[in-house]
Amino acid sequence: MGKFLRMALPPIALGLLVTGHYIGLAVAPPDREMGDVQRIMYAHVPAVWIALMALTINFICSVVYLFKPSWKTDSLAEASAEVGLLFGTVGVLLGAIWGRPTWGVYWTWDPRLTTAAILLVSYMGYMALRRFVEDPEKRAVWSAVVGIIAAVDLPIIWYSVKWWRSLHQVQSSPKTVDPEMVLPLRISAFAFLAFMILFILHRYRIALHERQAEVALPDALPTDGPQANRTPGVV
Amino acid sequence: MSALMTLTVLAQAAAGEVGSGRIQGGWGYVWVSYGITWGAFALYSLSLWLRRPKNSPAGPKE
Amino acid sequence: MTPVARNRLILVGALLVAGAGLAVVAFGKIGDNLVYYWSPAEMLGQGEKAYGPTIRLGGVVKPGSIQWNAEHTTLHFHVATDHTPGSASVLVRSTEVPPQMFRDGIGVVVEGTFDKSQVFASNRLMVNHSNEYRAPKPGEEPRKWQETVEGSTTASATGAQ
Repeated sequence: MGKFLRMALPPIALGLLVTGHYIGLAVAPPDREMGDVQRIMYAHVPAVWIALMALTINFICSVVYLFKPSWKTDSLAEASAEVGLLFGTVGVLLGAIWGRPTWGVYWTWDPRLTTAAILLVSYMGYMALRRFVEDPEKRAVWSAVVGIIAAVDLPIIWYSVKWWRSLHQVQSSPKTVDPEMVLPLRISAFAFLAFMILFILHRYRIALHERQAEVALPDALPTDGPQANRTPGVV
Repeated sequence: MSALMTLTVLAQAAAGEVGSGRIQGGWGYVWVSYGITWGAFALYSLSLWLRRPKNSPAGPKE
Repeated sequence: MTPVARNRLILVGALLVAGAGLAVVAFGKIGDNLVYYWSPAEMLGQGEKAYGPTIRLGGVVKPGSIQWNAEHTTLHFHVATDHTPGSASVLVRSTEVPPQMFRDGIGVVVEGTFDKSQVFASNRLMVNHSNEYRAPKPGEEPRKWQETVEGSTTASATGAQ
């Protein structure tokens, strides 16, 4: 499964991205009011969606790790947080660029932008924590706790535009977006999804490899099972 | 009639009139946005490749 | 306690903290204290308390109220609480060129100060877009229109020289 995905996914992801962005940039009509600037939507919106999805995976991994410790879950948590941070950063940067011609400003501390900034800072902290804690088991437990707490921001970001007054508009739906624009948005979203899976898969391999090297070190905790990479409490 | 109105709007826009409610141009913002996106994907792919597990050629079993 | 039991206890604790945090944000009154902008009706309702501090005022541009002086780049318009004709409104003075999206009836947020002259002096004008994205109506050609505008601007600029 992993090998097949690694082989088949790059062309699928690239193909979807080229298709989605080509339609978005060259085929779809400009917006009546925003003109061509609206085309930023086909990159900004999928980036944020996928960031929220990747960080939701991180939350699930954090919960699962604490319930049933495993280096695989910990590695997947690390991978999904980093990939989520990548997509989140792209989404926020593109939002700022889109804001300049539309709103007139790159940035303002409205609820949506503020909660998005908190998200980036939280997961930067998460990644920093992972880097600075040397004991793999402590790192896994502590980062799982941080992953659960930081995930509180995910629904807050989503609902921020509904709960509070903001400059950012509320979510669009196919009713408020013309079909010619929904199509490239959908294709781009699937392209970003494919890239997310691809990135997480490769990042997971790196993380798992690092974990196995760490726990195989001679000064690691004594092993009691037949597997060399066993530590107490970690299956 | 609508052509005449368009002309009026055009004249206003050319005279620097505000309140048209429409963004003209702005492709620069679009290209910078897509450049950041594609660049981020490319750079992250490169970083994954550079960090790839090295000492076991077959890679860890999944 | 075994490590697994300890981890599960930590899990319950973390989930409780997260759930409580979310509940406070969702059902608490945070929004009442951290308001991104005031509506004209709310600001006027504050009376003299609104005079002085930098505040954000949000609403819609009252149709027909835009007055733009290109020479001095001064802009005057009324911000109304909503689209109903009689809703409370405030006169705003701005000295910057507004974003191109600015027009009658569009949502705006202005940052600035209000005083007893009843004029809101804005030093930052932001326009908010709705969640609607539409193709141009038949006959509308934003891009052609744009090219013509650019052409005519260039023409008038060269003409002026």
